[in-house]
Amino acid sequence: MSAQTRDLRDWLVARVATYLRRSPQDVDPAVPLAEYGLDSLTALAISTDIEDEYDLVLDPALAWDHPTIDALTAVLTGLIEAKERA
Amino acid sequence: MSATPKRADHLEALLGSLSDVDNPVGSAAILDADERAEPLVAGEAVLAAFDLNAELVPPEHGGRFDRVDHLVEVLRSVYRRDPALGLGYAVGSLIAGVAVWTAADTEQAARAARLLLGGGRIAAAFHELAHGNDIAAAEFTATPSDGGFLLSGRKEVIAGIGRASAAVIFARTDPSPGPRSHSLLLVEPVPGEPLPRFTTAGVRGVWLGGVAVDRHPVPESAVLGRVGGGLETVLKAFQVTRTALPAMATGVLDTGLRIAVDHLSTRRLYGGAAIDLPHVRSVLAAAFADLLRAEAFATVAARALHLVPGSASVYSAAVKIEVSRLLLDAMDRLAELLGAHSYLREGPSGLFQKLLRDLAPVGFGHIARATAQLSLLPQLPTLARRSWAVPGPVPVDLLDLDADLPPLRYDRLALHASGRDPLTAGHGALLDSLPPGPVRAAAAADRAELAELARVCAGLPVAELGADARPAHYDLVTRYVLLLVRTACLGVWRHAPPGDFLADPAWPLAALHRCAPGRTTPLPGPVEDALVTELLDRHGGNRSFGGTARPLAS
Repeated sequence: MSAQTRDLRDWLVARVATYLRRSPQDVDPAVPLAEYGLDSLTALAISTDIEDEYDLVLDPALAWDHPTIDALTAVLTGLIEAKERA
Repeated sequence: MSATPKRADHLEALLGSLSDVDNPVGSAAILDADERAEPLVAGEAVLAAFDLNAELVPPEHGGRFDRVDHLVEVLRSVYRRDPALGLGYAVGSLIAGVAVWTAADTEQAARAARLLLGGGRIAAAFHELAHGNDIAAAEFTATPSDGGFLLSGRKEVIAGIGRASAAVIFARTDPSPGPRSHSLLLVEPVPGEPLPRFTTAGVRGVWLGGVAVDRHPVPESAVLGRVGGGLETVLKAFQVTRTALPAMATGVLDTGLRIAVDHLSTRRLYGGAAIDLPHVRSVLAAAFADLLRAEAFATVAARALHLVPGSASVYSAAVKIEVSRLLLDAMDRLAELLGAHSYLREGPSGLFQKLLRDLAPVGFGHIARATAQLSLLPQLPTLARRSWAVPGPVPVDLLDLDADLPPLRYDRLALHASGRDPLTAGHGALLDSLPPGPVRAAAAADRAELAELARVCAGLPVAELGADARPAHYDLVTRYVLLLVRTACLGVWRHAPPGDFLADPAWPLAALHRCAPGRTTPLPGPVEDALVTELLDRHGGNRSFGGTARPLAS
C-alpha cells in the first residue's frame, strides 16, 4: 500500500469515525458502513466530503456501490491517480 | 401562471359543475359514493373518456406526460372535486409509472405504457405496514431461483391493487442490510392472494388492499434496472411524485375556500353578512394567500424537475413538507370558520367534511412529512457551503412560469443535490433585482436569515443529522424550507406578466408576512383588502383561486 493510499484510508476512517461517533480504532475498514448502523442517506454525505477534500466530482451513490472503507479507498485511489495523470 | 394546457380546460368541462344536483360527478353524487365507501363510477367513466391514463405516460412511449406542471394542472380538476377519484384512478399508476420511466429498459417501458394506454392500472406495491417510511427495512423478498426470482411476503395498504393488471413491487433481493439490498420488479398480473380491505377515515371510495405472496415465480426480466438498484430508483423517481401529489392537492383547498365563501356570503350573523366580519375576511384572505403561496412554490419545484433535475431531491422534499402543511392548516382554519357546516355530511357545504378527510393523506401518504424533513437534514451542510454562501444569478427559468420547459430527464435525477440549490444561491441577486417598494422592503430581512442559516448549517456535524437528529436540527430544515418558499414567491411575483394577479404586490406581501420568522400579527389592512377583493371577484366569475385563476365548469 502506497503512502498516499494509506493517507486516504486513514482520512476516510477518521471521517467515518466522526459520522459514527466512535474512535477511529473502532472502525474496521473491511466492514460495510451499513453494518455500523450508518443510515443510507447519511452515508451519501461522505461523497461530498471526499469531493471537497480531494477536489473530485463523484457519483452521488459512491458510498452505496463501495460500501466499505477499503472499497472506497480502492476506487478513490484510481480516481485520484487518473486526475493527476490528466 | 404557466399557460394552462387546453386539455385541462377540456377535463374541467367534462367533469362539470359541482353544484349541479343532476351532475353525476357533482357534489351530491360524490358524497353519495363516499357514504357507500364506493368509487365514483361516473367520475371514472369521465376520466376514461378523457383518456386520463395518457397523462401518466411520457410522449416517447405514446402518452401526453410531457410536463409535470401540466400533469398537475390537469389533475387539479379531479382534486377540486373528489380526491378519492384521483387516488383511486390515477395515483397508483402515476407512482408505479415514474419508477418504470426512471429504471426500466425500452421493452419494459413499452409494456407498461401499452398497459396504461389500454386503460389498465399498475399498482405501486412499496409499502409494508410494519415498516412505514423506513422503506430500506422492507421484508417482502425476491429470492433468486432458476434464472428468475421467487416472490414471498406481504404488501399492505396499496391503493387499487385489486383492480390493477400489474404491480411494481419493491422487494428485498439481498438479506444483508444496506442500500443495495432491494430491487423493483414489474409483475403482471398482480401475484398472490388479496388481503382484506383496509378501511379508512378519508378517501373512503378507494379500495385499499394488499397481497400475500408465497413463492411466486417471476422471470429475471421482471427486474426494473439493476438488481440492488431499487432504493436508488425509488429515491429518484419519487422526486416527481413528491412534487406532483401535494401540488395537485391544492385543488382541495381551492374548493374548500369556495365552499367557505359560498356559505359565508349568504349567511347572516349579528345583523349583517358573515363575510363582512373582520375575522372572517382575515381568515379567508389568509387561506387565499396560502393557496397562492403553495401553488407558486409547487410550480417552481415542478419546473425544477425539468430544469435542474440534479437538485430536485431538495425541492421535492420541500414541497412535501410545506405545501402539504399549508393545505392542511388552511383547511383546518376554514373548518373553524364554517363551524357545524364543516361537519355536516349533507347540505350545500356537505362536501367540505369529505375534502377535509380526504386531504389528510397529503401529509403522510407516499412519504411522511417527517421523513421528507429527515431526507433534507444530511444535505444541509453541503447546501450551505456550496450554494447558500456562494451567490449565483437569478434562476429566471425556474421563476418565469410562462417560459418553456425542456423534457423531463429521469436519468438526471440524483440521490442528493451535491449542494446545488440555484434558487437559494440566486436569493441575493433576486432581491437586488426587485423594484423599490414594500415587497423589497419586506424581503430585506431574509438576507440576514440566509446568512445566519448558511453559517449554522455549514458547520453541522453529519453524524448528528441521521434519523436520531435533535429537534433543533429539524427546526433548521423548517427555516430553510420557509426561505425557499419565500424566495420562490418573490421570484414568481417579479417575473409574472403585468396585469396578472400574480404581478400584484398583495400576495407576495401576504406570503412573506405569513411565513416571516416569529410572525404573530394579522395581515396589514390594505393587503387583506386587495386579497379579499380578488377572492370575491374570482368567486363571482367562477374562476379558480390558485395561480392560474382558471375558468371553472359552471
